[in-house]
Amino acid sequence: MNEENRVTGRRHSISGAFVFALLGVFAVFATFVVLLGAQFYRNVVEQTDLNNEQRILTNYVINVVRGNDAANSVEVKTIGDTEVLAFVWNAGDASYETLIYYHDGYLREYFGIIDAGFELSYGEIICPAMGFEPDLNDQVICADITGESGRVYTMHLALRCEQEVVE
Amino acid sequence: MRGKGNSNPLLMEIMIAVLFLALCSTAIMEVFGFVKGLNEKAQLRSNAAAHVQDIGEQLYACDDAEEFLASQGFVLNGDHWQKECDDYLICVSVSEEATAAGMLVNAQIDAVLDEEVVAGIPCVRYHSGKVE
Repeated sequence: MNEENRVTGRRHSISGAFVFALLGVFAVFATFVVLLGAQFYRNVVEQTDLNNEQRILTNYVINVVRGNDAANSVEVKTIGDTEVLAFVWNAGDASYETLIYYHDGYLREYFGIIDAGFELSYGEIICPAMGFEPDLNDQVICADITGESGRVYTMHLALRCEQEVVE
Repeated sequence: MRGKGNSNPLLMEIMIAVLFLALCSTAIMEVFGFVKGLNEKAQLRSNAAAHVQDIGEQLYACDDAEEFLASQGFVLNGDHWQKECDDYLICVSVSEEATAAGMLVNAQIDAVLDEEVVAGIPCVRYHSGKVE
């Protein structure tokens, strides 16, 4: 009788341990799935952000250049320590300029009358960035745009209208 | 007997739950893997499109397309120029058509991945000359 109870008790404890082991497997497996899924999701979102960053930054500059490309209107100038891509146009007696530049963590755009007391902080915030270095060489704008992620996007844009060569 | 009768349904329930979780996890992982693949392909296409556009712009601005392509590391292969990039191949075919008042240069720039064109743009420029 005692022997039978001992055997039955051992069976019960093994069965209980097995149930707990299965529950443990279930818990570990479920946690693993959740963590792996979260990691996948984070990677996908990061990559989507990079895609968006590249498209927004480059297409914004392309659109501004295409929209303002006029004869003798494009120039790259330095204001303070900041390289600025400038588009100048005349309307009546006044001259206006559109400036694209990087300042204080953002790519910015400023539109206003020339010599109306401009400061870099006046520009409208376009999107977060870490740098914008334009260069104008022989009818081609070459710009290095550093995104918020630290990636540098180098782009070239051929101007359709003739620009005055400034020596 | 009673103990055996109680533990078996519980055991079965847990085993079914584990099995169901395993099946669901497999499906979820497959979906995530597919999405990751799609995203990587989108990134690749985006890079290829930007690269193609960049070459198109530089090609538009240059006076001698072949000289420019050679300077950028393109190799003439048959009737088109090509350059191996990290993940794709850039192919440029240039044709010139002389007209009475100049030269029409027509270039087709394609990014090819696994024999599929993932991005492509035409680039046309008219170089005016002297009418004789």
